[in-house]
Amino acid sequence: MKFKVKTLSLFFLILMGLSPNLTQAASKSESGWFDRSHRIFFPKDGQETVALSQSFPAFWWNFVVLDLKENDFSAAHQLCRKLKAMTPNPLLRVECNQGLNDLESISRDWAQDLPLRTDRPSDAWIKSAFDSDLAQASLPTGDRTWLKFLQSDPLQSWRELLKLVENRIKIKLERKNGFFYDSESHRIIIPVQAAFNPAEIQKTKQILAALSDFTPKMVWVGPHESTLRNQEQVMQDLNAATHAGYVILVLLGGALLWLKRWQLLLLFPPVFVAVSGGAVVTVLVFGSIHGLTLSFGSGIIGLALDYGFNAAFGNKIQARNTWRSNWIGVATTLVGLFVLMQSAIPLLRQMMVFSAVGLSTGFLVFRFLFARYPDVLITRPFGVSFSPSPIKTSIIFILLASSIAGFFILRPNLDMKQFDFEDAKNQQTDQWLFKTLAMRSPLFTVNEGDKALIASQKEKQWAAQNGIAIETLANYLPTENEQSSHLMTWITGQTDCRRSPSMFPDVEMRFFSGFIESSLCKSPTRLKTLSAFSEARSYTQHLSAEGKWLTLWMPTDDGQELKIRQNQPTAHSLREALMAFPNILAKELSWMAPLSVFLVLIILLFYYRKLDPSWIALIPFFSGLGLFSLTAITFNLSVSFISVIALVMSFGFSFDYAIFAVDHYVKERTNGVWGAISSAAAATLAGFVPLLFTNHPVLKHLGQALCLSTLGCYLGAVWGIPGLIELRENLKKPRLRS
Amino acid sequence: MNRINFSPKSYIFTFFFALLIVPFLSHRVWGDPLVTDAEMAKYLQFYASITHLDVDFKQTKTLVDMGINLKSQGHLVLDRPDKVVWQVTQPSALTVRLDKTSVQIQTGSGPDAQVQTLSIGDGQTSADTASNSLAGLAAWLTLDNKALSAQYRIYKKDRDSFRFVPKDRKTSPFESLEMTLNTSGHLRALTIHEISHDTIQIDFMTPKLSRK
Repeated sequence: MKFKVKTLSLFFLILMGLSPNLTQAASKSESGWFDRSHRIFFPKDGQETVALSQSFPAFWWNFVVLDLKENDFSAAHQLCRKLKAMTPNPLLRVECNQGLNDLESISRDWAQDLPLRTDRPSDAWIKSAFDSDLAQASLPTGDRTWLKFLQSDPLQSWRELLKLVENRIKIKLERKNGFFYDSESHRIIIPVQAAFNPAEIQKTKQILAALSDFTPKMVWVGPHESTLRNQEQVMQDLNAATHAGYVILVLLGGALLWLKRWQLLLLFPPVFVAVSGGAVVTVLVFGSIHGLTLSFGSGIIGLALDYGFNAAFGNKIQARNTWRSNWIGVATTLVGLFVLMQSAIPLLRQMMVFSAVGLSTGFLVFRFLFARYPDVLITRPFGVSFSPSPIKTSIIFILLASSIAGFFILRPNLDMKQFDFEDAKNQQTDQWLFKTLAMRSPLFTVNEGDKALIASQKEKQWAAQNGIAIETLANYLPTENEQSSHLMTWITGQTDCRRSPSMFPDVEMRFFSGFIESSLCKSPTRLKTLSAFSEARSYTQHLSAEGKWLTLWMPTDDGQELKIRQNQPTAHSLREALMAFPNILAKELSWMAPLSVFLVLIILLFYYRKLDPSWIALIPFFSGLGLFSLTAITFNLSVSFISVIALVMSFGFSFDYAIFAVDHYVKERTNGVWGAISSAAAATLAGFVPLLFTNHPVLKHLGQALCLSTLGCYLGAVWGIPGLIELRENLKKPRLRS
Repeated sequence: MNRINFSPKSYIFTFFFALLIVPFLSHRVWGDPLVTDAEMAKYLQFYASITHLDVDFKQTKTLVDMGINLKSQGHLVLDRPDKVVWQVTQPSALTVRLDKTSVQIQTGSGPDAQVQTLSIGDGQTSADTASNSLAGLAAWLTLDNKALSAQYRIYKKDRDSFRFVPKDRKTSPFESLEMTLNTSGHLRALTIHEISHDTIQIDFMTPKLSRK
């Protein structure tokens, strides 16, 4: 039996080692139950616009920055040629060395829809336009691209479209040799619009691989490269953390075997059961589970190990008391989770449901296993004890003071920009670009499909009255009534080309046959309005996503921006939209954190029936907070809302340590309590320490806050609680004497 | 049936005949003879010292598969070293101004004129075929012997006809160009074979010149 249990323990140790790989594999899978979207960060009302902002091609612009050797543009031309070879897919537009061929890609449908925008010109005007086209067609143009362009747009409507397109890109830099050029830094900027969502990182990877020859001198700045860079860094970090995790796991397993406590390895499988249970319920409730829920939530569920350690180091006689304390531990954690479940942020709600279900499952599984197999699972205590000393208590006081100081000194940075992982070169180029272009962030509004054109017309009119530049659907298409009125002039002007003699000479008839047949001759199928907008049009595709239409407002000063915001209350910048998550989180935590502490205090009061042990049970949490604050203030660590989330997680496990430590003094003195707390803290740290080996700000902040707060909580439990209880008793003694 | 008997004399005659015909055949079968830089310089001597050239032209562009002949006429102004103005007067007013870095296309005239400026880069091949083609023509029209020899393999077709085949065929907008000089040495006709297989036949009138 002993051998079998030992073998089983080793098997589970291997299973634990595989678990990070399994999680990574799940995150890479394309299963419907696994969610990786950004929507989950935002409350329902703000969710759509923010999520959609990634879908509108108007937001898929990037900047390619190339360092030139003095005034040598040869590399710039090579780069431009290479980029243009990638149009129209994977790149929609490349703004360099604009030529006649570039117009062809944007004016496909524009020329075809001319009858919707203007009245039919006179025959003389059409004849003169044809002559002009034929003169241009006579030029040597290499291939047929330009000729086909002239044939498809003989009335030269592309000129109007070109003006609209040029208005979209407002860069205050001189154009030299066909490039936006900064003479001070000898750099060129090529605006590049991708034909795909930034989330499709494989496509970005392929583009960057194709441009690898230019890499030393070229930097790609924009949403696509940033998404790729961050995802690659996170994957790299997770690999590093996994490897560090293996080493720690081997050390932990080795330590348990060396200490002849291999039974403790059997406590890990129930955690996997708990995580699986939580995941299944989450998928059933929400339809899918987000990658962040799975990784962060599993960390919280992992705290169920604490209940296992407490029970394993207890004894059969005291089992009832142990499980009562465990029950209070799980209740205090669940209270925190339920409070956070009230958040407007779907991610937090999902994470808390997952954690609460997982934690409860873990608790119940442990309860069952220890009731059924106590002989297998209960082990000898380590015999660790912590006697209070003035130095230890002083350290705890310093930590408690630091936690108070932290409230006043530390201000979490809510800016999402800090989570954009950049190397020195990228950062320097990004800053230079921001300074050089000095572009104001445009504001955006979104209109619904059917009413989009009417709403867009109103926006256009208002913007024109106030002298504000606007990029909207109405710039490209008149209202349905106007379209019909224009169309009528074309329909009434049509002739039966088969019967009546042609008004154009033979060359014109043959060269412009497509246009003549579709627009000037009677045709039963052609010429209809675009009211329903069922057909995708190449000239408006940058403004369209999922049946919604984007309007971009481009204010030039604060006054214009204020006017837009007053007239369009839903208008906001992309940055503001992205800031919604940390802002809501900060606002919610400002009431959720005190409420959680208050509710936990009530549970503790109910449990201890006294005030003193109840507030002493808060010491580990505040020690953890204190150690984090002290380190952050001393070493100037960056504190973000991710750090705050980590501290919320530490709030959960701090009470597991606290209750057993306080119970040791106020309820029943047990031998195994300190070993259980130490084992639980060691297991928690073993899970979080690998995050210290990462470089991405999100994982780094999480690792720092979790490791420091765990250590602080542990010190608060093993040094703080004994010390403060002794201090309390010493203070009571003189009073009793008196 | 009588059998023909060849005498040794006839073998000798055939051998010498073959010696004579091989160079002729090689010229016809394996291509025109290459023209050296020095020879080309001699042929283009007429243009060596000119600073300004002004000439009328008539042109026919044949779109082979469509069976269309686009006829036009106009005026070419060349200001050496690198400025070219290609002005079409018929069927409609169109002016193309080319220099080392840009192509400017003006359609119409007076207040209705529309101007489009395209960058072609300094001596670089543009990503745009049309701009590239116009730039290539401008470079050719300067008739700079050294530049032509650097960019083209030049073959002599007839006494005054030459064929220019781009050395870098991947980036060139032309398959080849054929030039015919008149007896006094000035450009009489130019035929452009485009990569689209369209052909442009340009006939030049007598030029007005300014020399150094």
